[in-house]
Parts: sequence; C-alpha cells; structure tokens
Amino acid sequence: MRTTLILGLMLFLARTSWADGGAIQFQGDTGPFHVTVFTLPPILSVGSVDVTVLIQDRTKLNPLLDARVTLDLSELATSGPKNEAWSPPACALNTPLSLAGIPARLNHGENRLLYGAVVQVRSSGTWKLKINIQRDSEIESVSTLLKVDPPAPPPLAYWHLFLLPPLGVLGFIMNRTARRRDRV
Amino acid sequence: MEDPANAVFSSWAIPIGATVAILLAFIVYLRGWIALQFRVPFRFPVWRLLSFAAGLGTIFLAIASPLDAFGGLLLQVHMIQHLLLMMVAPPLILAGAPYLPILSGLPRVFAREVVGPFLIWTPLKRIGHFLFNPLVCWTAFTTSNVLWHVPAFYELALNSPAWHQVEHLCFLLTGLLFWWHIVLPWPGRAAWPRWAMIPYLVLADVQNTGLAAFLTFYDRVLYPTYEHAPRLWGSNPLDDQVLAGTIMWVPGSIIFLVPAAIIAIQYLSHTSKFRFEENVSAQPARTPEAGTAILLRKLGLGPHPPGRLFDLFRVPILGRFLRSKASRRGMQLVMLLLAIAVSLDGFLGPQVSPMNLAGVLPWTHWRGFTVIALLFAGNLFCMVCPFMLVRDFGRHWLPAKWTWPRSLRNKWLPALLLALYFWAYEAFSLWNSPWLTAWIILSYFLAALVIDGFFQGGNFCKYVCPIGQFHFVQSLLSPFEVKVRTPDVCRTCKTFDCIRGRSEQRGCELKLFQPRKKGNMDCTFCMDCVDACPHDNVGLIAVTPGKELWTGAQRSSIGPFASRFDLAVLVFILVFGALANAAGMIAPVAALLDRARFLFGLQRPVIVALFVAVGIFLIPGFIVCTAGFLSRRMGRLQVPLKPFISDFAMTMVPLGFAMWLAHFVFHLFTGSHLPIPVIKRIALDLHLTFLGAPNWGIASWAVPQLLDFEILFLDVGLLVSLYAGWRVAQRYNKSKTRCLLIFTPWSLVYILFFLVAIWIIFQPMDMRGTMMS
Repeated sequence: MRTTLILGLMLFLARTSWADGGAIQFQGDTGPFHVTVFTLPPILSVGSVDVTVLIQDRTKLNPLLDARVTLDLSELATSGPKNEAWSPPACALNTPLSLAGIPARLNHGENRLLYGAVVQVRSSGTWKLKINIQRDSEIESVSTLLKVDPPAPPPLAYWHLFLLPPLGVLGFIMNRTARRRDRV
Repeated sequence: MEDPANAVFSSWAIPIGATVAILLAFIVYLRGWIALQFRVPFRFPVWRLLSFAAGLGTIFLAIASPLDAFGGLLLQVHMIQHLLLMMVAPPLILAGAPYLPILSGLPRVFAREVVGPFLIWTPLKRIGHFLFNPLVCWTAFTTSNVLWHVPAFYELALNSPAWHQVEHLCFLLTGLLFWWHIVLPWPGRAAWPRWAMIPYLVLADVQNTGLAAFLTFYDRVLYPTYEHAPRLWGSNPLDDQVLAGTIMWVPGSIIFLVPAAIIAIQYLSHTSKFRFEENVSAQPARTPEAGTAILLRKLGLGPHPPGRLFDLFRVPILGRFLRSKASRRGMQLVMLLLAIAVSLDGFLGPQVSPMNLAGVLPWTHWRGFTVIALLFAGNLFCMVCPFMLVRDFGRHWLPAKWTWPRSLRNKWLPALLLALYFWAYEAFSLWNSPWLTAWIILSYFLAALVIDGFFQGGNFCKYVCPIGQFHFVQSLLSPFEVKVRTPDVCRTCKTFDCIRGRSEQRGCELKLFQPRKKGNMDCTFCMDCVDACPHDNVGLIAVTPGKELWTGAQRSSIGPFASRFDLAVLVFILVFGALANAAGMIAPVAALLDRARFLFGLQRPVIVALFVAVGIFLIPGFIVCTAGFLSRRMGRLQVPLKPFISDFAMTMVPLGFAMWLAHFVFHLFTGSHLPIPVIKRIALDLHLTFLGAPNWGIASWAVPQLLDFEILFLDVGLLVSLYAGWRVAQRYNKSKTRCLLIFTPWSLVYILFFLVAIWIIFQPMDMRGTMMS
C-alpha cells in the first residue's frame, strides 16, 4: 500500500519537459525537405510556447541533423481585443527582445531528432510562424499560422501548486482522527 | 553529420521531480533494508534489494529514456513503455517486499507520528481490504488496460502531457495492485488459494490477447496521432500498429503465462510458496552477524545504537572539518578577505551595482547562500563570520573588561537596528549603491571591534548585530543544533567548562549553558562549547526542524519565549519585514510610493519611513493584537496579552523564513552569474588581461520554474506555521474545541500573510542586482 502511494507520488511529481513533440501545426514539403512543425502546449495560449521542427529528406524520409534552423514569429494585424502575455517575474530577464531569427537547436529537448526553441508569444490572436532551413547551399522556408488563445489568469496557471496547503491540512486532520480512534 | 541512430539513443531527458522521487524511494528502501539485515536477514536477501532497484530503474527507463521521447511518434515504442510500467516494474518492485524496508527506512518520528496512525486507521484499512481484493485488482488492471487503449482516451493522453502522466500513473498503480497477488510480498497473506492465481493470470492474458489481436488485425490506423505523425525512415503507421499489437501480444502473454506455469508446477510438486514461507518463519533466529550483516558492519553501515542521534561531527571528513578550529579560522579569514575586497571595490570601483562586487556579492549571493545554509544545516554564516576575527583582535588589544549595560541586555536594540536597516535599504537604495554598502561593512567592523574590545563577552552578536538576529531566528527551523550528546554525562559534570571555559579555551560567550540550551536561538555555531567540553559531549546533532517554536520550555539565557516580548517584537519585525522588503521591489508598491511622494511633496526617505511604519509596525501590530485578543477571548483564557502574543510570535517564523527564502533565492538565481563579469572587470582594472573582457549580458538561472519553487516555499511555510500554531494552542487548552477556538484567529493571520506573499511574488518586479535594474 505504502509503495503504491510512494510510487504514485513519484509519477505525480514528474514534470512535463519541453520539446517532446506536441501538436502538429504543419507538415509538408519544401525543396528537398519534408518538414513537420510541432508546438507544445498543443492548444496555444499567450506565454511560452515550445516549437520543435523535424526535418527529413523528402525522398527517403531520413531525419536530417545538419541543417541550420531559425524561427521568425510575427503577429498578424487583427481588429479584436488583445490579451498581453503574463510571465513569471524571473522570465523578464530571459525574454528575447526580438522574435526574428530565433535559433532552433537539436539539443533543445528530449528528442534529439527535433530542432527546437522556446518562443514567447506576447499577445493573443493569430501569429505567423516562419521556419527557415539552411543545409549546405539549399535555403528553404515554410510558414504556418498559429492561433493563440488569451492567457489563463496567473494564479490559475499555478493552481496545482496551491493544493499543498489544503492537502496538508486534510492529511493532518485525518492523522488526528486516526490517532483518536486508535486511542478509543 | 550527426548519426541519427546516435541522436535516437541520446534522446534522454531527466524529469527532475520523478528522478528525485525515485532516488528518495530507493534511499528510504536501502536504509530500511540495511536495518532489517540485522533483525531478519533471511527475509531480505540481497536479491530483494536488487529487484526493488531494478523495478525503480524500469520506471526511470520508461519515463526518461528514448522510449518516452519517441512514444508520440511510434506506437510500438509507446507500447514498450506501457508494458514496462504495467508488467515489468510492478512485479520487480513487489519482489523487493518493500513494505517493511520502506517503513523501517523512513525517519523514525515520521514513521511513528505521520504514517503510523494511518496504518491502523480502520477506514483506511477497509479501503485497503477492498482495493487488495483479487477481484478488484484484476478488474482495475484489465479495465485500465482496455480503457486507455480506446482511441478517445489514448488521443487524450497523447495530446495532453498532464493526462499522459495520469495514464502512466494508472498503469503503474493498477499494475502494482494486479501483481501483488502473484508476488505476495512478505508479510502479505494470500487472499485466495494459490491455485486461483492460475485463472487470475490466464484470464488477464485472454483480455490482453483480445486487445492485442484487435490492434494487430485491425485494417485501419486506430489512433489519428500516429496516422499524421511524421514517418521516420519511411515507416508505415499501419505496420507500426501491427508491430505494437504484436509486442503487446507476445511478450505480454509470456509475462502472464510464465508465472502461471510456475505456480502450477509449484502447486503440483507440493513446494508451494506458503510451505516455503512457513519453513522460513519456523527457523530459529539465526545469528544476525552473518553474511551481509557482517559486510555492512565492516562498511560502517551497522545499526544505530538505540537513542544515539545523528551527529554531523561524526560524519567522516565533514565532521572533522567542521570541528577543527583551524578550518573555522581559515573560513573566517576567507570571508574577511572577501569583505575587504567588497569594501575596496565599493569605494573604488564603478558605482553601478551589478558591475561592482559590493553590489553583487553581499546583496545577491551572500544573502541567497545564507538562507539556503540555514535551511539545510544551520547558522553556518555566523560560524564563518569575518567579524569574529575583528572581535578577537579587539579583545586582544583593547581592555575588554566593562560590563554590558543591563538595560541593553535584550533584543530591543537589534530590533530597532533592523527596522532602521529596512528603512535605509529602501530609502537610500542600499542594494544599488556600492559606496554605501562598503560604508556599512566598514561600520560593522568598527562596531564589532569597539563593542567587543571594550565589553566582556559576546555582546555584539547577542545584543547588537541585526544580521546575527536574522540568523538566530531563522535557524530555529534548521535541521541541526549544537547540543549535548548524552544528558547523563552533563548531570555528573562538575566543571561547567562549556559555559565557564578553561584557561586555554573560552566557554560560551553568549551565556548558553549546554545542558539547558534548547534550539538555536542566540547560538552563533562558534563551537567554543564543543572545544571546551572536557567530556567531548557536545555535537552538531540532527533535530526536528522547528520543534522549538511550539515548546514553551525554559531556555538557558533566554527563558521561555512567552516571557520575551522584546524577542517577539524582533520576530514580528523580521517576519513582516520579509513582506515589506519584497514589496519594495514590485511595480504596484513602487508606483504607490511615487504617487504618494508627488502628491504630498515628501522626500523618498520620509515616504519610505511611512511605508515601513505602516507595513512593519502599524498594520501587523493591529492584526497581531486583534488575533491575540480574539484568541484569548474565544479560548476563555485568563492570561496576560503580552506573553500570550509573545508565545504565538514564534509560530510565524516559518512563514517569514519562507518569504525570505523565496525573495533571496529569486535574487540568487536571477543574478547567479554576475560575479564572473565583475571579476573580469576587476582583473582588467588591475591590468590583468588573461581573463578577457567582461560579458555584461551573461545568462542566469532565471528559469520560469523559479516561481514554482517560491510558491512551494510559501506553501511549506504556511503548513509549518499552522502546525506550530496548533501546538501552541494545545498548550493553552487540551480540549479540541477550545484549542480550535484559540487557534482560529492565528490561523487567519497566517493565511492572510500567505495570500499577501503570493500576491507579491506574482507582481512584475524590479530586477535588482542585475543589469536590467
């Protein structure tokens, strides 16, 4: 029983790591390349988005690991209201100033066949994601549109971390109840 | 060009939380297994340890290896991952018979006080009985297997990382339930006759085979994700599905049928597991000093003698290092040299905080490392405090014979100095002024020199130093305490050298008499008492962190906390100062101060003085007095308000510490790498070019997860404060209802503090100490 609980806790604590694929946003051919673009989280909202790209040769579908990949993110003009991004205060330091030419690297995440980078989507709406691929003398690019939802209110995004105090209090109450029963 | 095969096999990712949990589980099991080697070694042979380790290793393999990285692209890989979680890891873990090793491996207090009551609680026992019914276990396992392979649920898991983890957890837990009846880990008893496990396994295989056959022979791709997934090396999604079905079918069936066959053979050959177990339990107790136990003893892993506490001084190398006077002096010298370097750079270097040692080391790194040391060890900073050398110098060359005035033998002066510091920090942006920082360090040295040079004893540390007070209060939550090893030795001691000292070794200058010392309050970890004790009876002992917050005991040189209103005020200043200090750097408070400044035409020092007065004294004072008044009234207590509030003041220390920890760790991480360019700049200033030019845009450890840790610190702080408050309330009235009434107003104060702290850490902040500031 205890082992069950402990092992349960183990997996509960496991965090999501970036760049393990996610939802496919684009798949198609360009020049000699077959390109697949993934994003995580699958349903995009304002804030950090993990973009990963699989580049394969068009004929044999072998993964290509010697390309140079950069991402350009630009917002499409919309008339509706926009929701600005909220990010944890510490992120202010590492937020890139420019959303153009963001390098996507192979050692970015778990899957080493994918080129990846984390991009900061600043507001809700439709964004254009352009992937530039350079391999030897061949330079190609593909573009796709991303629909980005408004962000969740900050405390809601962290709701799971606020569970600890109520769970601790509940555990304490149960512990006391168990002791009292035991004494009776 | 990188080889794709290499890339595939190097696609590992270490999930930090799960890895820590797996390691913790293994450490706890190992600790318990070692202890059991000296009690029931024949029950826990080495293969049980190896099996448990292999089970945990299998989980790690499933969630951290390329299996996880490619599970979303290839169904066959995902199927292997699931098989490991359902059919390989659970039996291996259960074969380790983990119940007793884990229970024995947990800290004794935790096992007895936290886990123990649950193990004998009837409602939980009933739930356990229900869950461990073989029929329920079988149904849970097969249902989980079928349900998660329904396309809607499988797709849900593939498209949501959170649901994916729920799916894996489900597989693992139901796997543990299912395999429990097959492995029957000791001391479990069989609920059904052993022969019944044969149909139990065979029927599970039938279900598994049915599902596998469906996957194998279905002529369309079942899961849309795999249909659209990129085809690596030209793989076909339908072939992938067939292969996944085959993996589920063949290895899956083998895993079910092999144990069924073994049980059948055992049953038929009359050497059932139960007979074996009976024989084992009927064996006379073997000598515990055999086999593995002897080896463990030789490795220094023998059982602890009863009542012996964990003493950091007994740890090889580290213990000797901490005990050695020379090493402490060496560390104090290093800190002194650092303080001199910081002061010199503060006076002579560029007056831009993140480019100056005086702007980086004291405000970002020293504060951050100090709170981390307090959390994991104790008041280590006071141990290596550079002012120690200056104080000793003063004692040697100055008279050092006056007596510290009686009116100052309390915490009022340091409380006032702390309040002044909080005001000055914000009013004059101390963190942003290397010049002022250097002056503060210099003034500190001068004060230490004069006070301990003219007065007897350690008055500077005990009655003046605000930094020392910060460490004293926070170290009440530290896991180690300078403490008597065996109280009986002190009862027969006639020398009292620990406090009086000897000709060649002084005793405790802060007048803490070891046999009556409780907690770390006023203890500088100077180790004078350790060196002075003629019986070598003082150690650095592991204690329950925070226990001193709720015991109303008499303390040497301090008295009961309830009798020390001065100490209570100091604690409140530190606790609410944590909020005010952090609030000073958030945008809404900065805007409010600016608006007030322009509205009333006041200078910044005046506005900040008002802010400190309201934020640290008026509002907290009103809240605390109201809580004390209500608590006393609701509990119908006939105690004076001042000692009552003083008693509860200590219960707020965990929340205050959590806020300081969140605040200082934030600065430490956001400014983590800044000393590198600063050192390069100093080298260039000294015409040393070998380090190269400084890169002021250097990266930092400012990761998004920093906020998660800040919230977790505050969560834990709230829980410990609530527990401490409850324990103090219990001292006033044992009756549950009355105790609850006493506790309620204070619990509301803790929750209010927690909510304000959470609000603060979510606000946009001035990145003090960094180039962005």
